Amino acid sequence: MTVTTSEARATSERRGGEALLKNVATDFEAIFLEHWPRVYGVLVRLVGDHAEAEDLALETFWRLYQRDDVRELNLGGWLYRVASNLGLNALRGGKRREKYELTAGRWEVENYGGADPAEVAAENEERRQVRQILQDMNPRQARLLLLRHSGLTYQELAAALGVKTSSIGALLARAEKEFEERWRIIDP
Amino acid sequence: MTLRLVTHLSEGQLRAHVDGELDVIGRQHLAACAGCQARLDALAARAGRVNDRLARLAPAADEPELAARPALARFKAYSAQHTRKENSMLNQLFGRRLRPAWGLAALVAVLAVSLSFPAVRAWAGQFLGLFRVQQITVLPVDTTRLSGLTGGETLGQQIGQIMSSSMTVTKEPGQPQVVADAAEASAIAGFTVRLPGAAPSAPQLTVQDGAAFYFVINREQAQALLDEAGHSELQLPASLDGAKIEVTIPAAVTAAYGNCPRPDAEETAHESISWEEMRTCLILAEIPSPTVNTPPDLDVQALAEIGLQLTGMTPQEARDFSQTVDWTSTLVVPIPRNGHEYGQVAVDGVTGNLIYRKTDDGFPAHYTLLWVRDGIIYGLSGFGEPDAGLALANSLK
Repeated sequence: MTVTTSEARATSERRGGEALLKNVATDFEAIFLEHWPRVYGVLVRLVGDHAEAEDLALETFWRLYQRDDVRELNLGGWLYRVASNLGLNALRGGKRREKYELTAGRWEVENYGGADPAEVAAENEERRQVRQILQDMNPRQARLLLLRHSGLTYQELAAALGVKTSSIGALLARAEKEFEERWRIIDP
Repeated sequence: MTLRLVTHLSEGQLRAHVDGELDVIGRQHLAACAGCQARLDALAARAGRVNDRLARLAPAADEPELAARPALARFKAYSAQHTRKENSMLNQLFGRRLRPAWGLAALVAVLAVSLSFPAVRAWAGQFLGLFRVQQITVLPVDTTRLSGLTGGETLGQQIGQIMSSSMTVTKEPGQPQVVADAAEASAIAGFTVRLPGAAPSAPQLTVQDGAAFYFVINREQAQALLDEAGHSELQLPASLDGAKIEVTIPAAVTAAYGNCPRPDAEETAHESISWEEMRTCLILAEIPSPTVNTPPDLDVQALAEIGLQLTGMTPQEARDFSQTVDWTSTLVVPIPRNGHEYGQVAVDGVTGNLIYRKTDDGFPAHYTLLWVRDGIIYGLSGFGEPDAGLALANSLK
């Protein structure tokens, strides 16, 4: 088959990319195994639906896999920034989650024979309100609260938000103040 | 008497102490300062309350979690599936290097995600593109009837392969260049760049270099593809065989206002900015009409009708639509029929097209204005109601 110069070049570019990916494949698996539990954990908290969290976590790692500058990235920061962003965007989409919460709520009421249905309903409502606040807040603040709560260190938070480690305390204090003010409006 | 300057700890330092992240000097001060201690207690209490609320989100212990190993297995399946999908016609056709040259299409795609499904755009680029643009028509496409194009990856992929194996790039587009002002943009891009007088802030101006390529069509291969896709009733004109199609895309200029993704960023970099953060983003793109040269005997209308039928029109609908369009001067922009409103508006002294999409599934309302004036195509995309965009477009000078 005769190929034109441009195709030959494109093919060689593709092959170059594939070779690089193969080289980092082992690294990638190690990265995946190391970060999956927390990336997935952040997303489950945020969207509240295991299946959706799984999809979003897979999407996060897929985006990482596609990059050819993996070695230069600040991995922790990049992964959590992307995951929390995808999660917040999904939260705004929201339809699937509402459906899930309704179903989950019903399931809990039907299956927790001993639990007080009113209590279960109140817990569900509180969960919904927390998510609503995160959704309404400035996305950066919401991301910070969520990631801190998911156990990221100040250093990891700084990388995820692209700020200095020394600013995290002040940013957290401000985000918590904002969260609480919004909470008071919902539940005076 | 000696004055001692006492610097109390900031709120940020105190908050860091709650998480054990305060340095030694800070801790020493705290141990001796009752005032800071009281503020610390208040901050710690608030942090505790917020944490308790967030703890409500933790999954219940008995809910199934997906462990890392099985997740990796799923990722491998997911990755194989996506690799096939990404290997779509658009990628095959234009490749990474040429994609940025489709400045207008690429920019509209960033903001109006829902407008951009690659297969349709790529088709538009081929069969609707034989022209120099003087006007724009919006064509709503029923996406549910596009199975042959969007659902069946193979058709797109094969067309892409045929195209790319016969495509020669005669001018490679360079990297996007950030410039200081309209004068510099005009000098580099080679046309007079106009900017809105009523803009709220200074824009970030970028010039995207132009590109040129040509390809030679093999009718037999193309017809075989149509047959395979179940469209053997569509017969490509004999004049298509060996036709050399030359495409020249001039340099484009974009002006980004507000909080926008960097225009030269890869699509994968856009994830670091959320829709919420992009709400203030407004992008104006200007590009002189691309030109497409075709052999004089090529039956453009017949090709256009075939293309329209592939997007789901009946032969009669395709004929009717095709007859309303001057295929040598009209850029037809396909948009999904569902969820979009569109219409003609007076803009910048001419008649333009407004495509508007209401808030849907969390994606904020957004609009795109498209118009042509003095041989330059203008596109303006933003979030919210289109009034602000129209006002801006009307203040171009």
